[in-house]
Amino acid sequence: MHAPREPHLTAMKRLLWYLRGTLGYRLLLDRSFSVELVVYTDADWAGCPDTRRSTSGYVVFLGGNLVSWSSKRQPVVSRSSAEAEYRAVTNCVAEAAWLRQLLVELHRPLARSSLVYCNNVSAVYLSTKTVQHQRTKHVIDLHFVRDHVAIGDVRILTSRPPHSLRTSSPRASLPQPSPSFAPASTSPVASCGCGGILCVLLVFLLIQS
Amino acid sequence: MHQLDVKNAFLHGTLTETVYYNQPDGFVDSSRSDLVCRLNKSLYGLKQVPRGCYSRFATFLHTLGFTEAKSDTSLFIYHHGGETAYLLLYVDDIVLTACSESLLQRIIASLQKEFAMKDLGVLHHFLGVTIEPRPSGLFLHQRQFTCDILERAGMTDCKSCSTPVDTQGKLSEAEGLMLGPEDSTA
Repeated sequence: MHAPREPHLTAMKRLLWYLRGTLGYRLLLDRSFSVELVVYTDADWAGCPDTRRSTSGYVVFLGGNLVSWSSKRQPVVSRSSAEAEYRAVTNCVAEAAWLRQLLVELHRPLARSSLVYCNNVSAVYLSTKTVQHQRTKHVIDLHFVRDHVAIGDVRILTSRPPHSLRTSSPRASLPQPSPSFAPASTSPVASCGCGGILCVLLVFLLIQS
Repeated sequence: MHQLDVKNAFLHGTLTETVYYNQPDGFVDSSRSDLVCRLNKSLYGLKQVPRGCYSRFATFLHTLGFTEAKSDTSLFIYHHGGETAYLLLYVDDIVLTACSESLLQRIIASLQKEFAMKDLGVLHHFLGVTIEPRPSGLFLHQRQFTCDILERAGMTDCKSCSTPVDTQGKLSEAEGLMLGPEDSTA
């Protein structure tokens, strides 16, 4: 931010072109009868050319409605792509745990486990296997996810085919959400401050009605 | 779902700490210029203010029977014998919803008795997000906010593109020409 260069200005202009092109986009919150909590995650291993840190992101669907999303550079360097994906999964589990707790407080606890879809088989394997491994023993996040898997709050799965997602959440105005983060599936509605909880509360009320 | 707005929210807070300030310019008592003033009520710009006005609201909501959610302290939940209401508080903006119209009106009335408050009717605009009702749900968007950004950049009529970033190539701190003050538009 303090030393901008020409490519950064180009990137920013491109963002504005994108905003211009998506002015008519809206985030649709639909009345839904399912209260399933589904999270999709992905990570770009060592994506930052300067720090070699990875970027991870997720989208959270409550009853087929997008309520929370994030794309953020991870705070530490990962030694393998599985490790980077696993850190992404950890963020999802934390967000899912917060939403579950919120729904408990709204007197509508989720009956089923949250589902976290991750396209890295090793990361999924790490979430249940409690074997100490030379290449993962430094990852503290392992224990956090395993604890939540053990009590049945969450299940970590490899990505389900996109068509099953399409049938479970028909969306008229938005492009079909895809588990692989098509940028168009994230809407520009701010998730900062109170925005995130506003989305959750609105979806919650739609489920109630 | 109703929307309320608190008038001059920051003046509602009560000061629990002692805050002194220098005599304001033009109002200095020339005979006793070494004196300072002490605040009785809260004032805009004080760092104690946001917490002060939040706690004043929270205390009042507690007396109405609301409890704050542990997962998010801006959400207040009312749950007494079959009756439920939710209140979302963000500085001076409030979203309120209740299971029945009578409960909703009752809460609005008690809030208005305590604070100067404007009832903005059915929820349509909250924290820059516009909420439009649809037959089967809601539409959320930030069209106005986006237009403001484009206008500020002078790009209201620019071309559009379908993705926000180039998937080829990565941005680096050190690559490309440095931008100088001549590139600034502000």
